[in-house]
Amino acid sequence: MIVSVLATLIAVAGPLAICALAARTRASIRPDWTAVALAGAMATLGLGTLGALATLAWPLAARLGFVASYGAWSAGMVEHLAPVPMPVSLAAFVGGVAMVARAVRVVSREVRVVRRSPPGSEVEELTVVEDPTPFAHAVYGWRVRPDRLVVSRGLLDTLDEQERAAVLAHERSHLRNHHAVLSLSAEMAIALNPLLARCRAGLDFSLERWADEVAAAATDRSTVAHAVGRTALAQMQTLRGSAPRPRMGLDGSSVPARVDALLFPPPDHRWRHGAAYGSLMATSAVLVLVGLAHAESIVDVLQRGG
Amino acid sequence: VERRKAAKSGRRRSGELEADVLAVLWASEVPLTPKQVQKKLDRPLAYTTVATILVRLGEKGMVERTRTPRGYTYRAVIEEGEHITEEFRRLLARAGDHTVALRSLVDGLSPDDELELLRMLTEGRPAAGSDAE
Repeated sequence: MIVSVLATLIAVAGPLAICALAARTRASIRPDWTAVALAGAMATLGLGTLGALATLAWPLAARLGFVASYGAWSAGMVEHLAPVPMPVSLAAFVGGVAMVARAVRVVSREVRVVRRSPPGSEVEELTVVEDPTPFAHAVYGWRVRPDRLVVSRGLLDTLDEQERAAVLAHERSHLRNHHAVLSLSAEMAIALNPLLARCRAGLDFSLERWADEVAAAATDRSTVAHAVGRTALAQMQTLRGSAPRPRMGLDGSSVPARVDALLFPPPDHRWRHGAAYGSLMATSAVLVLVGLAHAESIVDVLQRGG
Repeated sequence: VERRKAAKSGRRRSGELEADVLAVLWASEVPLTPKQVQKKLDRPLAYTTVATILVRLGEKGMVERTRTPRGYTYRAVIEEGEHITEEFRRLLARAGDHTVALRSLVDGLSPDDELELLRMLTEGRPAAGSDAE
């Protein structure tokens, strides 16, 4: 009973709570803290979900002949001590396998992209793409390929010197602060628990804000705001009427909110935000531990009893 | 270990400087002298540093040097980068929505976003109904 309750809390209530919190901490003057806390909480909940599924599924495994003989468990005792209905066990097992397969797919997709990326020297590289549409990308090399800043000719033409420096600082911040690592761990967590997908936009926004704040420290807030805002506007201008639209966030563009945060810095709620994330993470960690301890104690009893 | 770390950060810094210098040359319509590059750079760099970076970029084939009455001028080499550009274009096109290694500066704007953005940048007033939290 306790196992099922814990599993539900971790797998359903956890993601809903953390993603609601992520929406509330969007306007943060310390997006770096928000991003790290959010990615950490997502990873905890993703792994916790996997643990919860395993806890629900193991009575099934214990009933299988070879596992049972290995642990010298009797099916009757398992039923008595871990009263998880067979269908639930089976569903948890199938679900767990599917989630792990999703996580593997996330990683393999990333590996494919890295292998397609052109090799180069060890140092960071700037690549200018001859394209009139203004855009800038940071491509993380995962230490296998060089980290790259990719900017278009259109971007260089659109922005002035100061703004160009701001864009380079912004993209560089993505690479230096290993935002791809946070992003990948979040994608893995989403693979393990699809409810966590609700947090994706929040994390993406925090990572962009983080890079904006680093760029603002290197130049100034107004310059970064204009660089970001003018790039977005010019991009829409050149793309108007032509085929491919740049991808838009789930809740529309994040650009106006970023420019707003740069021009009119939000109040500093870092302690409140930190405390909220900390307590949520601690709660989910405790839930995971209690679940594991409970499962272990059953296994213990079973082994002694057998 | 300490020394290796220092060497690594040194390489990083030089890569960063090269990127900045290259960005200046890319942005310029005409070839530039080291002095002009130095002036256009956002960060204060010694003339000799700029000249060294330009020489290094030249060795890598990323800039081209021309002798003029004012001394050497440099311009970014486009042709050299063409195949890499093509590779990137393909990478960007195929990367899809959920690639975590690639981050874009901006995402697309809706017509409402555009109006709000224009107002913020030109009038410099907080957006109405923005989060007061």
